[in-house]
Amino acid sequence: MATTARSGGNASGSTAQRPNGTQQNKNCQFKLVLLGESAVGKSSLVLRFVKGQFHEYQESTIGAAFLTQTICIEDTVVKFEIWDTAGQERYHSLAPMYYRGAQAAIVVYDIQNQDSFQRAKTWVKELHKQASPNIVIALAGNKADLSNIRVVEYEEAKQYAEENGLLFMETSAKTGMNVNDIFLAIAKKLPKNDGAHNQGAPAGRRLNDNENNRQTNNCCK
Amino acid sequence: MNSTVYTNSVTIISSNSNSHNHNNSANINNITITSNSNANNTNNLPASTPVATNHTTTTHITTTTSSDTTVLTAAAGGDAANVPLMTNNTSNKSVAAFDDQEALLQRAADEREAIFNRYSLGLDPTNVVDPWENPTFELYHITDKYGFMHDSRLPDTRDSQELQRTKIELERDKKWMKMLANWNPNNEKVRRRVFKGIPDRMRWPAWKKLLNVDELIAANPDKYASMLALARKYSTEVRQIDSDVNRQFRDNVAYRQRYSVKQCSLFNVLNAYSIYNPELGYCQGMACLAGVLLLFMQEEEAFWALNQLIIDRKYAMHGLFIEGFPKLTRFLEHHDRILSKMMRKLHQHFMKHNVDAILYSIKWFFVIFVERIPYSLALRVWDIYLLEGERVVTAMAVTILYLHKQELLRLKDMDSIIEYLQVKLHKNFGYNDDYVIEALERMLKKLKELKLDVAPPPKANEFPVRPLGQFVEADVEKKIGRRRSEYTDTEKQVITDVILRSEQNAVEVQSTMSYETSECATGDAYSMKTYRSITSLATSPAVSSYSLYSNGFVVTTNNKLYNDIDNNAYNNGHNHNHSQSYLHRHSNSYSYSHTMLPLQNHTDVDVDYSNVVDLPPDFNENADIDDDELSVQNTRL
Repeated sequence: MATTARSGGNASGSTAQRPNGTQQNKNCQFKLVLLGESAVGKSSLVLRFVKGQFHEYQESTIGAAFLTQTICIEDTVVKFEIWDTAGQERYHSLAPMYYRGAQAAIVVYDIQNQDSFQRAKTWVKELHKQASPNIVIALAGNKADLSNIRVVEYEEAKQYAEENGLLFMETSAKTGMNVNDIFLAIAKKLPKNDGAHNQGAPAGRRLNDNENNRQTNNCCK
Repeated sequence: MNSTVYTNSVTIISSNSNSHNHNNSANINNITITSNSNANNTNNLPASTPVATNHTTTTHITTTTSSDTTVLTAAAGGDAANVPLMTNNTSNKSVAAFDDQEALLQRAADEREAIFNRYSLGLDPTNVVDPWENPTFELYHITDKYGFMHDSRLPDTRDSQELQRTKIELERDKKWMKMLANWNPNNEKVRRRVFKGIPDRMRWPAWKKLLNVDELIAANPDKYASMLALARKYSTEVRQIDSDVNRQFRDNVAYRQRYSVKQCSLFNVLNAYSIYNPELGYCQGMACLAGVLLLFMQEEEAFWALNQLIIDRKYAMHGLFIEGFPKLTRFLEHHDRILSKMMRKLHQHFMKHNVDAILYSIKWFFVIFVERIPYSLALRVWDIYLLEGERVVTAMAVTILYLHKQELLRLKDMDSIIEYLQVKLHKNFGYNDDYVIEALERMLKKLKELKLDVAPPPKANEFPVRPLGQFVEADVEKKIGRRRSEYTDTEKQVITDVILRSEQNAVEVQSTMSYETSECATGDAYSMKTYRSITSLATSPAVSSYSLYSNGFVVTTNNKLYNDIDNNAYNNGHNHNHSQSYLHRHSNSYSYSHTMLPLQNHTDVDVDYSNVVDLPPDFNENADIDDDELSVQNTRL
């Protein structure tokens, strides 16, 4: 995989400093939300990205789950605060709480399920209407390991994504295909300005010194 | 897995047969399917289960095997013209046009039927599942006494503590047998023994007693069967329930195998309940509740037990699961209130790190701590919850935070705090079960002293409006399973509420520092906070003044309002708690009108609880619970 994801969600201990004590890396923190129909694999994508694991019987998410993962791109340490939401329609009304102020979103559908693709489109529409104007949205066609029984064609989704300015990848939480890549692609697209400290702002939150001390940089050479 | 069902050459030949009248006045047509099963696809169920239903009416389906075509015999309430004659040639990939309502209804009916058929077949060898659906496992060495499997082999011998517990439980079994034979839930002995923990072998009869299950079954003969039959024809929740059954407690032997007896029961109970209580339908979380009940009960018993949890005033989970989650909001606010009064330091710590209660406690409230604390401890909490009702949930939530306060204060960011509460405590709670239950008992007492044990009264919208068990056919949109593209008014309200909550917390974070040194930090913090958040939101177009008003956020104090609700459940909860639970335990079935009555008076009453909650003067000065107050013999593991 192109990205060097650090295993484990808890950042603690070493600092983002070179041995000579100079600060080398920029640190950014982004809020990312996962949205999509029930049972398309949102939690599994996060679990694969954050812990490198896959559970065949990922428990259904009630409310939402929160995890973090840190990756490095070039000279920047990017920490994702990931909100994994429940897919059942009834929980829809809680979603704004999670995508509010989010700088990035992954809208997930299941390539074997046409309804879930339609649902993904409604999520995209809602995000365009309600979320931060500069939110980076990625569309993930999950369960790509089952592409022999796919219902949603790659080209169809690709075209939709292009028309709507979305990043697009087919992913498989089961095999790990494109999972790190989609997060990396998002991280690359996110603006990493200095000084943007406001969580509601589209730019990543630059960590202050205090938070910096908790960052690890074992993923950056 | 794949939800699209395809049928091969479906032909309806005849439309002449008798129609039944179901006892719930639903029209039912008999449709006999003679299914095609050539040798090649007998083992491929999704492909060989041809399903065709008349979408305006419904079906009794019998599947038999014959040649290459599918023959349907259908009847439509005496009116043969209503039966659509059709020949379908749909394949897995050809998806019905999305604007074609007829086709969508047909597809939904086909899907419902196909899923139900698979659960009917259960473990039948012809019910072939994908390999991933049934895992291989080293069953006997990694399974604990509750049937849950662990990552590694369990010790061959039980430790002395475990042996001691078994010995005690055997003694308790005898006492419980006697007590169950002369059941009186108001007996102090029952209460004492429930707090000590119902012995594992006695949970089945004891939970049934506590939930009035046998009485409910006797009072409603055949009701469950008829609900299940209706579900088979009309349930609109089949797909969601199917996908949740497929992942509920898969680490328990009872649910491990796809379409196992318990999986089928779980599927049936949830579908039948969605018909029985159509205003609630099915909400994720209910699978977990029913899943626990089914580990101790039979299918029909679990149905009534679930109903009791949802409808009985003592538990009233209906309001938790319906659209908008009104009870969740109410309990979260109460939880925050308790924290701000009793554990201010921790509350401020949480707010500083943006840890809103909704993030860590939603499963505490929705599924009574299952999968958030060790299972053995969760069962102990369930025992007490079934006896005492919802105030146990409030108290347990605070007990968890109280017991782990020091560790939580040491964690300095949101993810480690959430990880600690959601994951770590499930794996290892750090205290033995008896110790936790003793702390819970003390917390219940403490909260009662402070008049914080009972949350503010529910509004009428937390209860069903229509009588239960009367079949209401879903509308077309619901049948198709099409999502609404717009939010409903209730949903808009929820959005406003949740945003308001987080906004409030943000304000609180900013003002924590100044409050700590000012007088606001004590008595008046709550109303100050409310005032500030209203001011900060006044310019926000997203928040209507209606929402601020309707959520109990009133700036001015109105003691009259409090007096007005003097006779309602809130006060009953405080002053006559005992008699209230007496009532509950003696209601043989849920009583819907008596549940509703006391609530009518205060449907629209907003109360500023900062004035309602009278704390003893010394408590305000030293808001955090003294560590000694709840401590018992420290048995920290």
